[in-house]
Amino acid sequence: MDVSVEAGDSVASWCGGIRLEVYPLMGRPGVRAIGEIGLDTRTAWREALARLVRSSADRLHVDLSRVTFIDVAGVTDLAVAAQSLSGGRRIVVHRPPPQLARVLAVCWPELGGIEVTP
Amino acid sequence: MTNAVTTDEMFVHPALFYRGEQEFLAGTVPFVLAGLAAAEPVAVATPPEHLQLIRHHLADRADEVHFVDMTRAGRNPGWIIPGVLRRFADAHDAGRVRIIGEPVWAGRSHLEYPACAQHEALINAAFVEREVTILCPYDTDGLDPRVLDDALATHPLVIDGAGETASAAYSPELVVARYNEVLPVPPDAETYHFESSSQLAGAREFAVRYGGRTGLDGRLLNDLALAVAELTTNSVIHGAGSGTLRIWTEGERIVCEVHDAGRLVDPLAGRRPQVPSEPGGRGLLLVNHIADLVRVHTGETGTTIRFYLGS
Repeated sequence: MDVSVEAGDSVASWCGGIRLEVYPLMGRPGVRAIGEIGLDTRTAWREALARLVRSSADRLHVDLSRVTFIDVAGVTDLAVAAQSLSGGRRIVVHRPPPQLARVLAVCWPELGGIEVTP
Repeated sequence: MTNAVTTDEMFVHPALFYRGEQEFLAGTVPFVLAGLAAAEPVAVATPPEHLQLIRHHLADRADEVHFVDMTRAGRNPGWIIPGVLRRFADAHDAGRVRIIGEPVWAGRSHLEYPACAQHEALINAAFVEREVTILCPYDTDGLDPRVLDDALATHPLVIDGAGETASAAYSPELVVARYNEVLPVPPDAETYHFESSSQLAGAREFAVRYGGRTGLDGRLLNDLALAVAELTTNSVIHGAGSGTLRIWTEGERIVCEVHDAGRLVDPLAGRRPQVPSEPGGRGLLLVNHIADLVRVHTGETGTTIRFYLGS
């Protein structure tokens, strides 16, 4: 895969072809995920989010442009992470797969702390 | 006709057996007005013709009532508790809430009706100890006698031309069991067996390819992918680790089901609104929201959850 790990911790998890890699973003606080967020990659996703919310930055970026699918539990993990932020801090999700908006609208219609950029 | 619905109990769930428009109005409009007089939040969720009737007869009081088109919001009976009834009740949790909910009408299909009857039965479990009154109108001219018999079993109280009586036939568990029907699979169904979590993506892609071939558009394909992912993931987690996905077309709709060897022990699964602080348990709720209809069969041979998606 043509991805270079730039700095900091990265996590990768794969099992039987379902794979998720998470890398720190360059130049701003956040992570970029590559692969799929589902049952087999849940641990890696949760660990990445847990690490992300420990950052003290006001805006935490999550680039999902190379995530092909995210399930309800994966969106829930993101929503729970966003809810854990205090003092106006937010998670900004970039270019998520289409499931994310659908699940947020149904399961988390009034969720604050998260913003999605298409 | 009496309109004095008993309110000394917490949850009150009467069936209103009406014949014709006048009896419908006599049973519903005073019920709404009594709620407004007691400063109770009132919602009316019925087919559109009945919404119009009630709205017309409430005249300038109609603005105080929340109206819901049950043929849309409640098209899947499995979504009525979380998406219509509890959505309204939970938003007004100080004091009694009053709802008219008409989930069964003459146009309900034979596929939908079993889910309607189970829904009516499960309302009782979903609102235990809640200060809520839900009045369910039943059209005694338009509905099958079997439907009216079921209503006697799913409602502790019955109101008809003779007044208000406790239903001697009240037995909601019996109705849940009665409509826990084996769901026949057509011979042209396409099948995908999954044995472990590593095949979840394969099952989802199998369903999406089928949906794409039948011309599903982007939103419905996305919904299909999500629903399949939730049901197959549940099978891997709760259903002995494996399962079978089947998919076919009925008329304009895609029908998809997931079968596994597990047994669904919680009849309210997928019908509780999500609690923001609680992770998990949203998969079935989402399937209930996006599907036109969800049917469930569970027993000794395992559990099948079938959903219908419109095109």
